[in-house]
Amino acid sequence: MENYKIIDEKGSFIIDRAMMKEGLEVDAGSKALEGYKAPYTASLIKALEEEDYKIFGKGMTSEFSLEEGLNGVVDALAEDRVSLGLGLDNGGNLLRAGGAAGIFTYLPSPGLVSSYGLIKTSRFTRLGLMGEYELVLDAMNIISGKDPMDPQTLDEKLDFSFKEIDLNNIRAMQAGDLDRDMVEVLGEPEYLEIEDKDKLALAYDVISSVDLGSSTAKFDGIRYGYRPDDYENLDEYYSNARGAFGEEVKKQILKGYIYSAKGYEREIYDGAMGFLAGLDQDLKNLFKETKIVLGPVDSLPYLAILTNRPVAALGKLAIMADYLDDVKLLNFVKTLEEAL
Amino acid sequence: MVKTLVGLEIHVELKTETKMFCSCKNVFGAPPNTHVCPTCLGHPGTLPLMNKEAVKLAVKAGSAFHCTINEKSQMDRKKYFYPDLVKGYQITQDSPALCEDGYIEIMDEEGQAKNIRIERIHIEEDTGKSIHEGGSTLLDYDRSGVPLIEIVTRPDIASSYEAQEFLGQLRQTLKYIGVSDVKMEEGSLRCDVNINLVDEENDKKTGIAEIKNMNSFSAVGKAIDYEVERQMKLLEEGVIEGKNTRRWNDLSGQTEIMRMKDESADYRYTVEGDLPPLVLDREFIEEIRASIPELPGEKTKRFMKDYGLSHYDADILSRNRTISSFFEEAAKSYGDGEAVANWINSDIMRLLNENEMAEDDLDMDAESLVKIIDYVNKDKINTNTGKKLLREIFNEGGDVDKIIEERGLAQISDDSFLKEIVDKVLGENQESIDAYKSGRDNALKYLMGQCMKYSKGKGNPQKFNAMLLDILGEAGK
Repeated sequence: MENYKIIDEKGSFIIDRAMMKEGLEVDAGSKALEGYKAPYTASLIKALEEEDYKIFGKGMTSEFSLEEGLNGVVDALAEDRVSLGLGLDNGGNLLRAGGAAGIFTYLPSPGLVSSYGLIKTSRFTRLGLMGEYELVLDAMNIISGKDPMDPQTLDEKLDFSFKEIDLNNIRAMQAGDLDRDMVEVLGEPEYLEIEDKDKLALAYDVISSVDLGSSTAKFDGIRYGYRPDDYENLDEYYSNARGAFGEEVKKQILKGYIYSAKGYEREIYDGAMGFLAGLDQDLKNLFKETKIVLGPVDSLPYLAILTNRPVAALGKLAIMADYLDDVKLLNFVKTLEEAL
Repeated sequence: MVKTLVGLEIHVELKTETKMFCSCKNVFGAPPNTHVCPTCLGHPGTLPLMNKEAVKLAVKAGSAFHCTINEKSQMDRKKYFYPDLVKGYQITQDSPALCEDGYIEIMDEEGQAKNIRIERIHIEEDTGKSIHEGGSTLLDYDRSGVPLIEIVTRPDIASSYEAQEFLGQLRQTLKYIGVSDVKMEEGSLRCDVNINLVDEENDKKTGIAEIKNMNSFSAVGKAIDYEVERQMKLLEEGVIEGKNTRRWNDLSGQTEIMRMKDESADYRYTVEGDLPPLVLDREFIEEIRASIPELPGEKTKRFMKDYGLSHYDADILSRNRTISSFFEEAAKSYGDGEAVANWINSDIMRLLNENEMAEDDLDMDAESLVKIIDYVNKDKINTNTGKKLLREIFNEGGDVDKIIEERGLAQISDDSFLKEIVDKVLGENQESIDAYKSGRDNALKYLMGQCMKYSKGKGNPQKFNAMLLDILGEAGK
């Protein structure tokens, strides 16, 4: 582990622009937070710094890390400027970006790591760890566990250390076609038919856009962030302050309003919430038998994100495990990678 | 027959050490913006942490008001924009509420018991405070995130009298069980009134008027009376008015229109994803239920039954735990509840008032009161001495027997001693004797006063009175 830290100038890491570090400007890529300096530090950054990790820098991202593609954390890792990155994933976009760049990317089970100090736009926004496998394990040992500032963190602490596993003893399922070389390594995994597959992306879109509307309502320019100077009254102030958001965010906020307002498309939001509850039960049943699910990084992450399961990306492949089966997931990924 | 339908929505600040979702102190009256942190200021990346004590107090209130406590509920986001709402949404509960379907029993104007149903009690956070000054608005966020319960009644209240009775019972109970200090003047109890009239015979009704932010029980009463009159005119004149929001103007004694609203505002409630569902153990709920003491209403009934008190006396004694315990201890020891109630409701209450003390601050042992009442009733000391003694013990403490002995306060009932004083007083006050004989009864009071003065307050007043009447009568009145 020390070797990596030395290579990376005492274990430096890069963070998303939506992570709080006291005194540093944190704008989450949005004009709405222009000039905003964090008054406190995110719990996970504090924990890493206490273990001598140093922030290497902040990666440019799209506004609130919502869009696909642009991600400075991924770029810094791809260019070997740093070996560990902490990013925010929305709907699998970090997994896809990491996978496309050939960078190991992993979203831990929600509750394992504190979200305090991360500017999440929805309940599905997840922390992603990217980079050298050993550093990801080391970081997880440091940042996982109970945080009194995050009510959703768990008491239990997992032992993130690599143990090679016998792939033949893992019951894998495929939620899409797998490459031949992978089938050779794993045998022919049983095919997992995901019912209502189309609804996954839709449910994600509906609920996350509704959440985005209220999450971004905080940035009204009253206490911090962008202050409009052209307004006649309070309503106009709010309206103009929200003009600071980019087109994509505005589109999402508007969608969220329509989905959550009575008399519009509220039943779609209620339907999505009902779908989510059913999905959770389906996954509980699935994982009674199955331990690892493999599928395309384009679609499988939605299932993992909607049901709070850990998921990792290896190229175009997404790999999902049961809730809190994170160590098994990581060991599987590494063993599989080496076997390929 | 026209019926008045009144429903109340009451916000009550909970008496917790810290705020609802952060560890800032929950205090009133501190300099502006001194009890704030990134969480209650709604800074990016912060997360709400549920205050367990607030949940406990809300369950306590729900239990005291006979509600069903939902073992599973959740927090929701109620969305609207206003500068004192730091997050652009308020964390509250939409459905289900933590507590549902309760009631408070009141006595109506005819003295009959009536249940006012409570639809729901839910927990939520308070907003900051906007202070409008000289064209500017200043914001104080010390109140932002203070824990609240909102109590919503069914429209079972039929008059201003019943509304005030209900609020009185509610305030008394919440204070009694330690849920809130319920100070309307500090905003820890705030009330909105919903009122309309229904003419069942002619199948007509008025639009619901919501009167916001009432600041006293008496204002609630006056606003209801005013609205009944105003809406009655509308009914008579056949004017159709939609739902409307109003404010009470204390100076003009009228409600004033703020805005018409055809339907309830859409707050676009959605689940608060930053908090886990609120799941309570049955054991936790039962523990809280068991901790609720006998409530004032129940206590009033028991005091009437066990001690033969009037409803008036029993009600006053039941309102405060310190006073009711003090009464019971004294009544049990003395064996005459009525006598004890008289002394407490008149003398002790007066002393508390004079000293500007809260009832909870009563620091006198019940046995001292019992001794004073006993000695007065047995003529060991006279009533006047008893009251003076009570004042001294109340203010400075001390031992009743010791004070009586040291100061020689014991009443003198020896006839020859008293007769000697009466003769002396009559001998010196011929004018008063003449005045009494000519029909001026006040002259007798003067003579009594003189007798008490010569006896240094120790003479038995009943005996003095009898002796004076006897002699003056003999003198041929």
